[in-house]
Amino acid sequence: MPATLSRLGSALTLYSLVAGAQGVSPEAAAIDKDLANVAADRDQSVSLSRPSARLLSQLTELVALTTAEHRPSELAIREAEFLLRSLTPGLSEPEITIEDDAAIALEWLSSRTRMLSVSVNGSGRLAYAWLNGSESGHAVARFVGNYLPPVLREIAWEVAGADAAFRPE
Amino acid sequence: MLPSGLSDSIAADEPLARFVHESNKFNKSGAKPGAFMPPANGLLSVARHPKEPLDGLRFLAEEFLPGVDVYGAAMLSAGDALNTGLSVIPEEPPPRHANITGWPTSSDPELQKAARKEKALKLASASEWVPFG
Repeated sequence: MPATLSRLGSALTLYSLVAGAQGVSPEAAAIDKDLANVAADRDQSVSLSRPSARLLSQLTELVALTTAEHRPSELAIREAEFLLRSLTPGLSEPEITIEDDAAIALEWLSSRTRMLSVSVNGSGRLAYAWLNGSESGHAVARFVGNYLPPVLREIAWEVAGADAAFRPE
Repeated sequence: MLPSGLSDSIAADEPLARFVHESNKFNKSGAKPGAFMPPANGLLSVARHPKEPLDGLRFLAEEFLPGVDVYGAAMLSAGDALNTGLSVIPEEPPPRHANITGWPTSSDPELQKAARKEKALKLASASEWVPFG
């Protein structure tokens, strides 16, 4: 567990003790307030770590709206669902697009100079390319369905990391 | 000289328009990389026209894509394509039409797609979105 999360866990334990206290000093009340904020932040962050129901339903809707000619295979859809579930907590949510070759693209378009596009076609191999300022690159990563390939995870963090506290170490 | 009166060679500073008629190819900040992914034949169609006058751009969009609602144009220069390692080749008719060519190829379809995607990202990054409203 990253150190940040460990410290957060200790703080929340303390908060759970303080939260129920009565007749506390002003200092304790201040700590109470600070820890309440920590707990609120934790709740918000944890929600990012869960599979985004919104993204999964968006994928389903996009597939339903796609003409038969461009409709992704069932294998590609399953793979895209696994990929969505494997996204590291704290990453921005990607835009989902059905591509002309019936692949599913997850795209992080943070700005006009920071982009990552990953294509899923059900082959177990992810074609991806990224742009970060004057640097760019492309490659293919194997995807086994349980976790984002480390190299891709690192690039995603560079391009689309939104919450540094959750950055993998 | 081409039938349109344009030169048969394209200068690096010549403006090009990539017409976008699919809603998944752009968002509020502009054309997405998918707008610049080449079709299977490797010929990415563009118009040799600046962003102004807009009526002229709209007219060309109707010439290129008759009967199709076009959302806007992603503007870039021929130099943007050249700097990405691609070429711009005039091909008329229709008037003012050209193709961006020279896309990478590979026997590995995923690797070929990844390489083309990188170039599409660069073109999208360089482009300026002109909505047709």
